[in-house]
Amino acid sequence: MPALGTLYLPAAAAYAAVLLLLALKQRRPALGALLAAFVLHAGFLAARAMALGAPSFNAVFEEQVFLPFCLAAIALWLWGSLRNGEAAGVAIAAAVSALLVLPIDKGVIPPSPKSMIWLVPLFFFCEILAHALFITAAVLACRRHGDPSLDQAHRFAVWGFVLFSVAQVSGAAWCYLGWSVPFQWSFRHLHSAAVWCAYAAYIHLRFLPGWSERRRAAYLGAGALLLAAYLVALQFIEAGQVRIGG
Amino acid sequence: MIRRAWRTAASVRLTFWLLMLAILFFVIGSVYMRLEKEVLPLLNFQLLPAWLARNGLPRIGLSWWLFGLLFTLLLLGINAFACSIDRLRRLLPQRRQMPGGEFAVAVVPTLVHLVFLLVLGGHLLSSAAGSVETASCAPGRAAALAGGRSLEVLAVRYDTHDAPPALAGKLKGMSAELRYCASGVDERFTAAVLAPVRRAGYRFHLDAIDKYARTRELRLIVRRDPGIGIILPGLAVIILLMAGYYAALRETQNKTNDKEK
Repeated sequence: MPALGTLYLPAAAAYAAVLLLLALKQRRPALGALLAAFVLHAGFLAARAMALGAPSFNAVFEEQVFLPFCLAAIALWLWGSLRNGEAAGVAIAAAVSALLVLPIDKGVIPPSPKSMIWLVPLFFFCEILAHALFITAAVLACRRHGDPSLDQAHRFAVWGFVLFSVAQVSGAAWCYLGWSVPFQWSFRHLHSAAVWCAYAAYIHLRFLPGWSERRRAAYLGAGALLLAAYLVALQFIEAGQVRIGG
Repeated sequence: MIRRAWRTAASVRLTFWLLMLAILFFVIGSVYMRLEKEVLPLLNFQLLPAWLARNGLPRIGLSWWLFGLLFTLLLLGINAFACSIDRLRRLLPQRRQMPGGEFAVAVVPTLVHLVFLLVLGGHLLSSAAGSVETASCAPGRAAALAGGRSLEVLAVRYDTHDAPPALAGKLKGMSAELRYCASGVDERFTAAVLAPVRRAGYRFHLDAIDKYARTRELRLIVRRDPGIGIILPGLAVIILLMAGYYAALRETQNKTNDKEK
């Protein structure tokens, strides 16, 4: 079987085509290219799941490969709901994130005794999907041309918050079993707490009269920036990981 | 005066700014945790009050953000309590006029805040009434614990993958056979990574020091954690309440949209 990095290239090429077609204002063909990218990406994830010779969800739910996939899925869903403008905005986010992670080793982190529990895929699945929903909320809020878009953005942010909370709870249970505490004093846990507080504060904004829709949109953008800074830092921290099949 | 103080304590604007402050301290703390590798990581192996007394106060340059964070969380707790009571006081007299389902939905955010307070209380309880001790886990090693207790490592077992070839020989699980002695207690049991054992009011965790098991180094963590029974179920209840609340809101919104059509 070819290396996983090689298998990712066709999907990356399709994502690049999405960006190119959107730059040329060819929205429909761009969304078609996104569908192709999504299918190729799904194939890549399936190969990744089997890369170690036995099915592994942990290999699929890794931020660098699963976040662009989630964003592409959301963009296609918006396209299916006839919200083409919004779908194009999220497609850009999907394509940019898919291309940014191109230099990162696509190999699978081998399982360890601490990762052999069902809470691990549940945690990563919920956390990464929540990140995708937060990014989608920011994209929709920042490109809106009317109230309906912010309503949609708000819905994405709210469900992102619920999923992120599920991730934090499953993470707390995993942390308790593996490290003896439900919350660790570490870079990762503290940053997750910061992101959780950021969206908890967002949920409360609806009750503050001074916060116009424009300001709330800016807030969602700032929340996504906090998240992006964390994701970039995490890539550097995990850069030295031993990987198989990259 | 008291009414004004209560109104300030129960204000959502205060909630917002306290959350902003908490974000700031969490982010600063995450940077400190990344840069300092000797004193701050001890927070994970000592109770918070003990760490603050032993390490936090003498090294205030390292720990100032933690004091700020704890104070902010205390204020958030007070704010959440005041907000919840305030809202309940307004909601309860209206419950007769509201259809049953509507009242149940309206009261959920308040319940979420109250359970959240309970979870914070669980953390407080663990910090105040808990204990934590660590010992290295090497076969034949005996560790003396506080109060004349002892923990002996009888054997350590490493399980490795047989297949597939990519994983063959890599660690799959680790476990230790232990003997725990205290007054009136002499027990043998096996603790494994991700499978702590509860005996005589303590939980015995086997911790692989390297998360990715690149080394075989193990440590034992003996904890008494009275708050955990509140923290984990409390968090699960919050999730269920939140998911139910937003699903109910969405249903109400869909019904309204259908009526408008």
